[in-house]
Amino acid sequence: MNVRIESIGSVTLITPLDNYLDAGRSKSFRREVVDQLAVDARVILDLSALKFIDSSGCGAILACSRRVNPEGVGPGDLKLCAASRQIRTVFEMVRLHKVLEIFNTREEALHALGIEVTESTVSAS
Amino acid sequence: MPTSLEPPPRTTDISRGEILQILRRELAATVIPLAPLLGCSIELEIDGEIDRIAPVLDRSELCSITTDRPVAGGVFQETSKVVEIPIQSDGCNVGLCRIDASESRPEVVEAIERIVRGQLERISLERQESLLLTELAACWESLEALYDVHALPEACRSTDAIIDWIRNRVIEGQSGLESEFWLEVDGRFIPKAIGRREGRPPSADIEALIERSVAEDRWIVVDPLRPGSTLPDHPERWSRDLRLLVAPSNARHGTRGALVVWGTERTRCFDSRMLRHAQSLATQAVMALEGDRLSQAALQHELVQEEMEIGSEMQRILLLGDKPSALGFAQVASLAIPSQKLGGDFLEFFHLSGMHLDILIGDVMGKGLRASLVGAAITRQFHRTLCSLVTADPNCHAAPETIVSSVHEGVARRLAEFDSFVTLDYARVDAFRGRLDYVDCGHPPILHFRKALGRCDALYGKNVPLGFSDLEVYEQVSVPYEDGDVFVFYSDGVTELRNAAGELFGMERLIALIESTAAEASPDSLTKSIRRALMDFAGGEQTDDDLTLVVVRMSRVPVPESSGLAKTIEIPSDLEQLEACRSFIRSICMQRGRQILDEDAIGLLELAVTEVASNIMIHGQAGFDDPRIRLEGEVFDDSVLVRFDYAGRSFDPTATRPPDFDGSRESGFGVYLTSQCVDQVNYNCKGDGANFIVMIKNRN
Repeated sequence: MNVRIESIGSVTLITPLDNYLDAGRSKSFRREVVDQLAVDARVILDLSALKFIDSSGCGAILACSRRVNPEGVGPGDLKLCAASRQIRTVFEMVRLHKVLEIFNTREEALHALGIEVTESTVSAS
Repeated sequence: MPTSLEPPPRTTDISRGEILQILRRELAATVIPLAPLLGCSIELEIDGEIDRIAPVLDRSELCSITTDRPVAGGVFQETSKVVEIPIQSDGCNVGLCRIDASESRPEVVEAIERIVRGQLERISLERQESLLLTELAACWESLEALYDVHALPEACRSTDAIIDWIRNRVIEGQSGLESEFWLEVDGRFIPKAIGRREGRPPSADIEALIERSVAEDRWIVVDPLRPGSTLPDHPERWSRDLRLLVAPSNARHGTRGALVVWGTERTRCFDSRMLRHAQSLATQAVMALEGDRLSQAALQHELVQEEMEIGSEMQRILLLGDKPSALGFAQVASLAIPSQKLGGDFLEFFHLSGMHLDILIGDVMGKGLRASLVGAAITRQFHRTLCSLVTADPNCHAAPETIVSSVHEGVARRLAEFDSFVTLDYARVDAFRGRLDYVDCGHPPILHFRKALGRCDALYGKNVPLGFSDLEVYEQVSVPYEDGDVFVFYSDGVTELRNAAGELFGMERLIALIESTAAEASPDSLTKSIRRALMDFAGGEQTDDDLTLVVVRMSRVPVPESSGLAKTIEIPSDLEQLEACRSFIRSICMQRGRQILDEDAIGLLELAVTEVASNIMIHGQAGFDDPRIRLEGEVFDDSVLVRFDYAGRSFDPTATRPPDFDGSRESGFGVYLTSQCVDQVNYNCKGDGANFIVMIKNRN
């Protein structure tokens, strides 16, 4: 699973680079990305490259959310951004949009986490 | 009043005094002057009073007349030489004409007798003529009254107005008379049209006279001037001068009434003309009332008929659901013959998922609108229950016993309030498992024709009807079926149909018919055969009870015929191959450079295929040696079909847990997502090494 992981201030920005997240990819996504996240991390998942997702992909995203905020009361947070129409359709079918916040752009998601985007705030990790 | 017709002259009754007067006048011109000359005397004896009209002259002036033989028609007294000739009026003897001919010769006596007889005969004829004229006048009065009733203006033709007009008509031109019309209501006679009550006798006495008059169907006159007239029960309560007439009338279908006329003038009496006139008008009054009653009854009947027709149509729409068509796993035919009365049968089909068909058939105790409405309420309760279960679980695989229990919870109390109960079968054809799950609540047994054995079994259930007991625990029964088996559901109207001799059609006849026909016949033709047998048995199409029947013939899970243009791929059972599956789907949706589905629909089909394929790979084939999956895709005019064939474990999608949408679980969405993405998906994964799953996506 090809993923780019960046830090913007205190926020971890994760961008899957493959264009699908299905049962064949979700296991490695969990292993290589989700399991590496710290509890209480503030994460933005940028879905702009993703063209297809299935139920196991949705499950991996939910696992990501539960990883950073296992009890649902801590400071950890996961926000989604830049999902295509087809991806949003699947999210709506499994009601993911009711559980996680989805923003149109990465900037909006960062803003929601209190980060104002400037050139200097972005640094590759 | 009619003006083009002239009524005949009216005549009056002749009293006995008048007869005496006429006889005296007629005889005075003929016999009386001769009598003294011929040596005889003539006397009239009427009402015991003797009137000598021809006294004998001095006997010395007369010749001696003797006779020794009786005179025809009279009584010739040998000793006294007296001839007595009876005088009759209206066929009754009213007196005698006595000729004392002791001094006359027989020839003379005979001549006088002939003259007297001739005169009496003439008087009698005149009297008869007079009576005929009286009759004619009375008939004329009646005709006139009839004409007048029918010539009343439309505005005055209410029944009450006609009765009141008749009451006035009977005393028209008769000063000193009053009248009333009495009608029988609920077994008692009461005044319906009332005039002035001056001098009227007590109501109880009038009622008693009317009852007697109507019962004997003859008029009654209370008249002190009329010898032999009826006496009231309590004459002491009546004025001495009071005269009263009761003219009764009975209609053929029960309307009974009487015209009552009374007065106190002694100068008048109720003659035959008056009696006939009153009788005729009483008949008119009763006819008007009877006509009114019949038209009300006809109107009521029409309204009831109309309500029944609306009810029947309601029943057809609300209670008898349309049978499902184009099911891959079963052929269904149904028959519903509503009874003449509104019935309580109901029938509904629920095709909730690709491999299941739920059938509800029931019968509400009793007939009529109430039973029909209870049936509608029960059907609605099933819809409501299924709706709430589907909302809770989109795949809705709540068991029949859960569904019936839930419905019973909702309606049991109300059924008890209505003092009603309902027999029903709720059955589920489970094509995935190849079995019928049913809950039987006191309904006639389901008949299961087992093709392999050529035999019909009656399937009984375990429960009492809905509404019998609040505490009832509903339990389902399951029976497996094979390809070609037939299930027959029916209401008791079928087996309890009677023929002219009173015999029941019965379950044995139904079973015999099914066993002889079901192996080869389609459900439609089996239904027609049963209908024909029922109608032949009953001798016609009219039935007292609803006849409802459903025939379901099971078949193998469908595999659409290949057009020969199908594309196939075979992939290893490896999750890395899922992208290849999606590419395959995209390729079959592209024909001659054009997409046959829009991008969104292709995305959904890709998702469904990914979910099914990954499910097979993860759960169906894990641990199998070199597992592979064969995919076949084909485009039809109205749909795209994808079929998966694989060897692996069995899979029952209905056994999967419904998804949680609250983020608490990360898996368990696959079966649900698949059902949302395509129009039909049939799983046939019994673990026998030849599993297949077929999904269909419609082209809009």
